[in-house]
Amino acid sequence: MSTPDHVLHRLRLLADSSLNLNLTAGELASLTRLDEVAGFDSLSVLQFLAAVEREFGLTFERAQLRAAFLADLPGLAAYIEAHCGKAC
Amino acid sequence: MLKELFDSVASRQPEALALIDGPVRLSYADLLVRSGRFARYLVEQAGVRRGDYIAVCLPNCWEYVAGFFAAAGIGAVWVPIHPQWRNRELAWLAGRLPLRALITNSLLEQAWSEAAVLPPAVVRIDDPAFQNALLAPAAPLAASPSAPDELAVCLTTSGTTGRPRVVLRTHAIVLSSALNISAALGVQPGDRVLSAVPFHHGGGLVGCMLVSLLSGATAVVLPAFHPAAAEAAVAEERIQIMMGSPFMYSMLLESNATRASFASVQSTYSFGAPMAPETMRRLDERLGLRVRQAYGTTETGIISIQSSGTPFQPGLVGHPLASTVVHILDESGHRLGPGCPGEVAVGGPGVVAGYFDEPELNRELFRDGFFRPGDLGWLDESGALILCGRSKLVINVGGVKVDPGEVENVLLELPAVRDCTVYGLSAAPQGEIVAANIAVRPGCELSRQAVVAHCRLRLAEFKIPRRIEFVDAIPVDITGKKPKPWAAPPNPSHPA
Repeated sequence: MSTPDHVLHRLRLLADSSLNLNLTAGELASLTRLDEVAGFDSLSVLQFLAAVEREFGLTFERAQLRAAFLADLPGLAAYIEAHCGKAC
Repeated sequence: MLKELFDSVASRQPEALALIDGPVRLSYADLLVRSGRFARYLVEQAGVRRGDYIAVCLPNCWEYVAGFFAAAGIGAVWVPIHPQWRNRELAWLAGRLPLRALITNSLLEQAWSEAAVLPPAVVRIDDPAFQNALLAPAAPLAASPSAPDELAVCLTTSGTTGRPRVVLRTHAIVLSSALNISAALGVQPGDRVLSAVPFHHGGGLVGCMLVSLLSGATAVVLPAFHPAAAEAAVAEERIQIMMGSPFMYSMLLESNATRASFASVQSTYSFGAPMAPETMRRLDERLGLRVRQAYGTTETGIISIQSSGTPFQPGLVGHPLASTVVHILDESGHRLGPGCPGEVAVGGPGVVAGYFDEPELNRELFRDGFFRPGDLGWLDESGALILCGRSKLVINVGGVKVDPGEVENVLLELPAVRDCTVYGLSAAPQGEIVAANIAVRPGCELSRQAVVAHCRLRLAEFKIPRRIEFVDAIPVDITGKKPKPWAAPPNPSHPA
């Protein structure tokens, strides 16, 4: 079964690959907010959202399509854990 | 001119649906009345007069459209501003143009307040007093005619000089652009056009908004692009004509969109950036969308549109629109024949005379009535244009241009930065992302977080580097220039 830490790790890797960040191992391990390490414009938001939905088989509500919600990786990991549980 | 043509279209079909914005559905008569009341509000409450500059910082919405025709009817100049602009960019604009008013909402107004550049009058569309003024039965203000050479729209664009440029379009230029595109696309009264491209972008303002409304069609407006929202709008409103950027179409392919949702679509256009033939093929196969590529710039409007039924060919952007002339020039400025690649030069009634207050740049880029966008290409025997590269290093982020020099200037303000180079890195689906190589001064430390935080106070979000590499030194060539480490040959810009 996945844990929030496991989901968070997957989110970090997903952010790095889907947004072409090319973070170092150290930066990746401490990554908590996406908007602190790169420009996070509306295109990035959509791109990351699509990658997360594909990776975890989720569909987010429109109200959650906010940069502030998606940039907060621990918060996003907790949300994913709560909504897909064992499935993710 | 623009308001008179809109009035004429509206008077011919007052009951026809002009605009759909979520639950708001406005007939041409409704939109005419609301734009007249908006004009009255601008004059009486904001003190706007003929020739005044009005900055507009809003997402796509019906108020944007009503405001545009209100300004055109007064003879004021519409200045669309990217909602992501921040202190440095807004301060530059305010120092450049004598803005009389800002039309915005209370959320987007904050950036203007923080930059301390609010114009004398601010119109907030979410202010109940404003909404009441537009919905109350007040008499609309009658429009006063504008001459063809009066300014209608002032767009900003990025170049390679380290700062944005101001492009002034007259009523005649905007009208010529809109009517040319409408004729090329065959837009008819009653057609439904999806307007997801932001109206602060020249392509969204003219190619989506004006083409729809000056042709008697219905503009279906989305405040922001989201694949599911776009798919739902197409299916529910039975869209016939879709316009978007390659990024938008790529995101549709990434989503769970189904072919059935797009059954009503008859024509699909892409502009703002080059679309890969593979993306075109997948859109055709999966969603039944046969995309035609358009090519244009802020300085020229749409230049050419790919004909329907032409094969997928990299760089093919079709024949120039009516009364638009494309020449291919060699390094000495001489015209080249079919099949010979060179620099693209564009002339015609849609081309502006030059940038505002940039005499040196105008001498370089605007010659003999032709503008040189910095694209390389060639004409085939039939006169169709095929683009094959860029002669200028401008980064195209999902259809919006970013000047590497502007970002470099901001990075160099960081005391720890010894040198840097900013460039475009090829990356699907938006075409390119902003990348920066930074050399740090000996003895100094600099984190990625510090770089991003510094940029965020000064640059729009889309200009902040996505990829940041810390390097020992920035290579310099024999001429003193810093070669850009583009991952692939720069793509044609396709701005519109």
